[in-house]
Amino acid sequence: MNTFLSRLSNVGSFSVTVIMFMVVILSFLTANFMPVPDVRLEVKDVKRYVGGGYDYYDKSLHKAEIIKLKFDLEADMQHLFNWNTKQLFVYIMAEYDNDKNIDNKVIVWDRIITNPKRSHLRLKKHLNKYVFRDFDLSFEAISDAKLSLVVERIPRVGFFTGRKEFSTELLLPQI
Amino acid sequence: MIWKALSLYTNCESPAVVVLSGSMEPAFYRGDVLFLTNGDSPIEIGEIIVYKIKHREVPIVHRVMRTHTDKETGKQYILTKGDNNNVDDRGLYAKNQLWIEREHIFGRVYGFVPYVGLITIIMSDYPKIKYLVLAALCVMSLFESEQ
Repeated sequence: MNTFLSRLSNVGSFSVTVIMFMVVILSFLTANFMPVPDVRLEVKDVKRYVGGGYDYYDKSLHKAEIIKLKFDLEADMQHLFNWNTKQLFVYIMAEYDNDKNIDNKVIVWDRIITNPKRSHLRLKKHLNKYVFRDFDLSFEAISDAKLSLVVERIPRVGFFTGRKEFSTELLLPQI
Repeated sequence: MIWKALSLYTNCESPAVVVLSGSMEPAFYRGDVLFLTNGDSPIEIGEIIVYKIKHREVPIVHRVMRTHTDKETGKQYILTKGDNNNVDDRGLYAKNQLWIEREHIFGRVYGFVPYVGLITIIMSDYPKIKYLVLAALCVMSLFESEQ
């Protein structure tokens, strides 16, 4: 009974159980997500034009209206890093309703932050990263949208709990 | 039993999946195990979902980049992208498919454990190792003495 192999397997299974319990407990302990103070998100420039885009799959893009944004962003997220933070996924989304009663949410910019030293964002007149177009061809009858910065924490192990939003107004110019 | 109960509770065919590609790095690496639910609430933007395209065997785990939701019928048009990919997923969808709809979605990720599923990847990538392990187990069972 008391062979080397059986002892090894006992020690192994016990340590795996202990590690699992510790991971579960610690992932609950670190699940709280602190707010980000003093987020500054300002829209500096909005341009609205037709055409100029090309996408192999999105065939209607060249005749669709596109919005080009320039924004300033300042946010310090250094305090969100603890031992169970693998990365922060930070993105800016635009939210608007159109006259066909459709609720639209579009991510226009994102960034993955894995290094706490780079988690103080200071962006000046930054451009949107992804094409911002409507589900239809034009943004007709849409005059304003909500622009929000969303911070999401992705843990090393455990549940996705952290998510915070900070909003500002975005006025779309008329053509 | 537990697996079936969990899949009933989460309303999801398989409540846990193993990540097979690096398209969501650095959030998920190959071999991470993801826990899924499939709740009825509308898909949120920024959420990580698992979806399956017609005529494609392997489900894909990516992040939701755009949602267009009809407020009356609740019908959603969704576009996804992998964090580690430069372009959105339209190249992965079926021919001429521009959006993902609710019926393609198979699960929504709510938690994960890193690297635990690596063993299944090793087994399926190198079948020789699988046979080696099986052979070793057989040999060991022959030499084991019952007391």
